[in-house]
Amino acid sequence: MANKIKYRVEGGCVVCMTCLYQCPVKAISLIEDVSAVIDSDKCVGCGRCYNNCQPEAIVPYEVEEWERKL
Amino acid sequence: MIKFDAFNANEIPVWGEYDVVVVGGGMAGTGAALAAGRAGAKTILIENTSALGGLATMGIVNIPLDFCSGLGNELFDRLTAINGLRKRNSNPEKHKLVFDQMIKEAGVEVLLVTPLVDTIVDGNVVKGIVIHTKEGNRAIFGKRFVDASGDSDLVYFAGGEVEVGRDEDHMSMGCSLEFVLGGVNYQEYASSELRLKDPKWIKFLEKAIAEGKIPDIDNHLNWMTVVPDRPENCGMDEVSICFAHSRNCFPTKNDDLTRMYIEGREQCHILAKFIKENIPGFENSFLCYTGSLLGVRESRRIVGEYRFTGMDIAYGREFDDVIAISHHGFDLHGFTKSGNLKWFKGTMPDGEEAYIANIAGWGSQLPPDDGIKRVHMTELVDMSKQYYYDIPYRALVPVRLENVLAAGRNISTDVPGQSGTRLVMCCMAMGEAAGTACALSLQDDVNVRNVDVGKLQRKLVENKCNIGQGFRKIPSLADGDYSDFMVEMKHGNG
Repeated sequence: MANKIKYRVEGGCVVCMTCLYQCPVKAISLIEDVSAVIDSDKCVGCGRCYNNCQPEAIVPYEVEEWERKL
Repeated sequence: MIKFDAFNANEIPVWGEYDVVVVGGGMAGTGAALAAGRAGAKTILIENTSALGGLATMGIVNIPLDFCSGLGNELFDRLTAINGLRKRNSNPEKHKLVFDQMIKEAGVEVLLVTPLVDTIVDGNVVKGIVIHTKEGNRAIFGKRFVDASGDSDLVYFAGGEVEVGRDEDHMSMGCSLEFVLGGVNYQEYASSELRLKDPKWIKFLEKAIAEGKIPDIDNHLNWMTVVPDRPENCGMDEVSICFAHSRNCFPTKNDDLTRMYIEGREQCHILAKFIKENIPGFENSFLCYTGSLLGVRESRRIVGEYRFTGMDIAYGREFDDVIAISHHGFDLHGFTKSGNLKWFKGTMPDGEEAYIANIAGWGSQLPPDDGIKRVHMTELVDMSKQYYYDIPYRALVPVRLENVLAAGRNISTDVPGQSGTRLVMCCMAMGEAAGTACALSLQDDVNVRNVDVGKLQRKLVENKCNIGQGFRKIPSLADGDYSDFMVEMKHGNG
């Protein structure tokens, strides 16, 4: 079952790749040299990326009810 | 040169005799002393500065990246308990405190502000070290030694084989002096356009340097971390910044070290002023202090049984004698000019030379345009799996000396390889392995070269160290199930 909270990279990513190795479902990939991106379809909302993001570039967002049922 | 014979061991008063003597109280040395002490060995730790933690505390590199392994995980737990950790940023003062407590609990003797001055060697065996105390020189005798001095001082003094800097001219990569700014409105900075669109200030600095607002110290912001346990959200945040850089560094020369400290402090003041005047959220900021230890990234390294190379990182190589893992790619700081090199010139398995880039790209100093093939690491490793590489036990073992292990930034590597293994948590993991290995070699009465690595690995895993058992099968651990290990590790990887 999907979690109510998911995470996205908002800006300010320094490409340290901590989140990339942290993600248990491999939802995070890189736009080379620019930023990490989180695949919202794969994100299970565990928060590991958020809890370890040094520049605080990752933010949580609430998944809408209808989106969760998809 | 004057012949000076006062270091003859017969004439020096003896401080004590120990099972394990650890030289250097940084992350690696503290890890080694804790591991050896907890394994029951009578251990002493010699540290040159006034606190434990080395660059992570005295140098304000409060950014413990890389996999958290046994002791690193414990450190994070303890820091969290006293509000000394914010995400992965530690509070340097609390970090010192936790180390002091851990060392005391492990029953390890510590000597702070005590430099190493010489060694007492018999053939290939180090019998003891000479330290400098307030009462003059003293000898410490030991059975096993860990060289966690960062600059391989112990191995060098003992006449062991060492190498310095890069192969061609023995120059080391750029050294930094970190500094701390107070009175920062971090929220304002975090939501500013600069941080969101140009987080490493690359375009911003290019313009400022071209306009002559600031000298060309570096072409990007290396990192900025918020120091935890400060008044939050009221414009009184404290941040530590890695920006100042000295180039053309020879960190084993004291005159050059002095030059870098003075240059670094000067740069920190220039940068603090520049940041205050130009960066949103820093209008009321002030320079709190600069690091009391220079951020030397790489200097003298031992020549070991195995020389860990950049290619091992490029291919994410696994070794059967793994004692620590890391995932940090090449990260070289400009030797002679500003910029970060996330690439190196390597030789591919087919013998062809190539510039090989980190998973994160090429960094801010690109390779020269000379027709040599360019390879991206994503082409060499399976990106669908967890990326990591192993640090083999053999890289800690010097080629000739029989009772010394290295740990930390001075293990046997080439420069690109070292640029990945030098991180805070990785050093601590190596230290823990070295300390455990010393205790084991005493138990089994073998020299450090002949330690049963399988036994060492099982011991490390018992102590919740991360040697990759959660990712793959390690021969000595074949009968165990570690599939849930990475889930159990609270501070896990990263």
